[in-house]
Amino acid sequence: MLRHFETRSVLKLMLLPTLLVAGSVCQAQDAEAQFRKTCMSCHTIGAGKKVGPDLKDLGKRRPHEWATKFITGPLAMIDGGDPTATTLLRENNGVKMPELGVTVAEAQALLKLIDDYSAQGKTLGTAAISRPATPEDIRRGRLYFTGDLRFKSGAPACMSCHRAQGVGGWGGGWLGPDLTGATAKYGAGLSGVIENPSFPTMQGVFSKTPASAEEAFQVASYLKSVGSQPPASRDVAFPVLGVVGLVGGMLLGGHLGRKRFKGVRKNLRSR
Amino acid sequence: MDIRSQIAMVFHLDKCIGCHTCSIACKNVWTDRKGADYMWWNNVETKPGTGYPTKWEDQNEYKGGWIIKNGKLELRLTSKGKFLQKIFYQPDLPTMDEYYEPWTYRYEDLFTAPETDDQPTAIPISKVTGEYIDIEAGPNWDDDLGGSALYARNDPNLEAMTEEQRLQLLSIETLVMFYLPRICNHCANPACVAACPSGAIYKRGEDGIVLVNQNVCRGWRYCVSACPYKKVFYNWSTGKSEKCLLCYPRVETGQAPACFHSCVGRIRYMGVLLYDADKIQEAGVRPDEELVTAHREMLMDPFDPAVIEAAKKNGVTEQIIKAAQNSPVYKFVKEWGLALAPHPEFRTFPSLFYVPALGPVTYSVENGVALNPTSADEIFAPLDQARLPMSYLASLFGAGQEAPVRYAMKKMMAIRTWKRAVTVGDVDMQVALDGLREADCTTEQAEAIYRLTSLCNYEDRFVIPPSHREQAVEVLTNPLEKKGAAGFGFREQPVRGA
Repeated sequence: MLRHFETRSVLKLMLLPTLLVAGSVCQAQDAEAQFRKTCMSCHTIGAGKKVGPDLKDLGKRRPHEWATKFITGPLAMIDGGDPTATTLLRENNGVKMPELGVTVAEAQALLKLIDDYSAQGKTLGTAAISRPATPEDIRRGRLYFTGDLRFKSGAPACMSCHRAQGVGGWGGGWLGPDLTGATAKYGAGLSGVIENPSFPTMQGVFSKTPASAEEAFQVASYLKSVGSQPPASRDVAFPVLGVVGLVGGMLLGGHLGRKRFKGVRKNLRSR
Repeated sequence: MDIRSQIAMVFHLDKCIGCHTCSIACKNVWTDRKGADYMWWNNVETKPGTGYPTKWEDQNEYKGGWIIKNGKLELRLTSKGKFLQKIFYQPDLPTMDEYYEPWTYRYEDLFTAPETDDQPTAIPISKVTGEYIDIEAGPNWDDDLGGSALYARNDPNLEAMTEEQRLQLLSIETLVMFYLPRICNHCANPACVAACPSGAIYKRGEDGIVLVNQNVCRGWRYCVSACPYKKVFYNWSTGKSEKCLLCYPRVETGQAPACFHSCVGRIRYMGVLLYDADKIQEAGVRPDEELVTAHREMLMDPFDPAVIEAAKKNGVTEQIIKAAQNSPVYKFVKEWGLALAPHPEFRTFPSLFYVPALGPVTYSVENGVALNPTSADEIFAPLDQARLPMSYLASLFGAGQEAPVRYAMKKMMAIRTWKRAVTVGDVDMQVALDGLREADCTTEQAEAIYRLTSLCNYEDRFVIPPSHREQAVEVLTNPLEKKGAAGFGFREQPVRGA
């Protein structure tokens, strides 16, 4: 009896390191996915400044306790007058880091990821394109928005779900918000948001087919160019076209199938 | 010449009393299962009537059988190009309503109902859903002209008659009927086989029985639509199609199929036909008026040495050829010209032939009263005064041509008159012999027809050759492989430690 118990304990002990290694690999992957989802719109690791600072060597610059506190509740620290946070706000053109709902455990995993990447010299993310937008950028951005130019990754055009001023008579889809004023909301961060959207709906569509930094910059440039104009009109023609198409399609189907079998016995009586 | 053997059938409608024993025998053996409850591989219909499934003969609705297109046979249902378009939603399938929703009764209610002033009732419940149903139709709802105002009136064969004939036929006291038992025809040119996208239906080489391989069937149900006789059924429980298999396990052991064996009126005959498969294509595109002749030309004389040689070359055994020579079917169809295939215009060349009913048809009516024969010399009224117009029978058995039907009817009438002259003696013998000659019949032939019709024993009705399954098995497996084995035990080899 005792022997049996011992054997099983030893087996369990032997298993433990394997589980730990497997667990940490798992965690690292989770943290990277989390970084892509939550942070990468505004930050990179070792690829340069974006909306927010490059996070390379964050562990060397700031104590972990401070960083954890900042990640889990940035607004409280900025508005609470934390000296480091106030300095950072000034350095980054007054763009406040939003509340992202990251837990303490997740924050620590993210910090570990940043430390690991910094130590190994790996990079994650791409830096913002800082050159001023040319008219060509704006033109191409509009074409990407309307779908006249395809995203390299094959992602659907913005217009499928969004409206914006200046894309033509019918404005675009009604599923997402009007993007005419998007620049006012996101400022310099818009390009990053387009590249790595942190909205669950868009992540479902774009996580496998993201827009490239160049493409995102051009779309953002276009949106910035129309930012001062009034929102696009909500034209009813687009949904009406959809309803007409559906009804027409059904009528056509019914006509093509008019010779189909419609039952015999039930029809005997009415004849 | 590509001579093949076909196990074929004759149903003598004059002897059918419409008792449905055949249907019940078949149901008990084959289709008393979940998903198959609604199938009647054998059913008996009352004619005129709409049958089962309702109006199965109306191919404008059901799109079964073959049509000629650009001088070639093509399925009416679909073409090679179109069938893929519709494969996931096939628009020509009969619904359960065209058959009927199978039902049973909730018998346990009779025992478990609480005590009340009224008798408990076993309510009808659907065998598909288990819920209460209001029964609206059954597999022989129009049996014995039940609901004739609705069902007999909608018989598709009535279209061949004039308006006057139709009114006369359908008015009360002049309405006439006969029975039409139906099974799968095991056609020589089966539309169901041609329509199957999976290649699951096949016509057996050795005896021409048409079967559905349940392992290959994918339930596309093109066979259900393509069969003009609506004798392939979809099992909604297994998701495969099923059909009459002519009780091949019985046929292989020399017994008649269950419906044949149980037939009370002894109306059913079974025998071998030798046919020339090379002629099918050419016969299939002949115009309607030549179809009966073309079909008979396909059936070859089993005594012809050239035919026998060609048959042997195709692997038809000596015993099968001998059975073909004794075949009652060959006699009824080819030698005597009495039996006719149902709806030859569907161009599938059925292997089931019917001897048309004489009795209910030929007794004539005048002013709404059935006529008794006025003179002993003429026990039947002339065919033109028949209660059921020849055009009706021509629509059912002659592809619209009255000549083959009239030939068969005349011959049967002549034989009865002659036999009455011989046994009763109240008919003038010379009149009877003249009648026989007019009907293209000798006294020897008349005697043979009389014997095979009235005095037929089991061996006369069913001439079933040995199937030699033991030889067929040798093609696939070595029968000596298991010699010396225990003979019972594991179907799968046991594996150590498993």
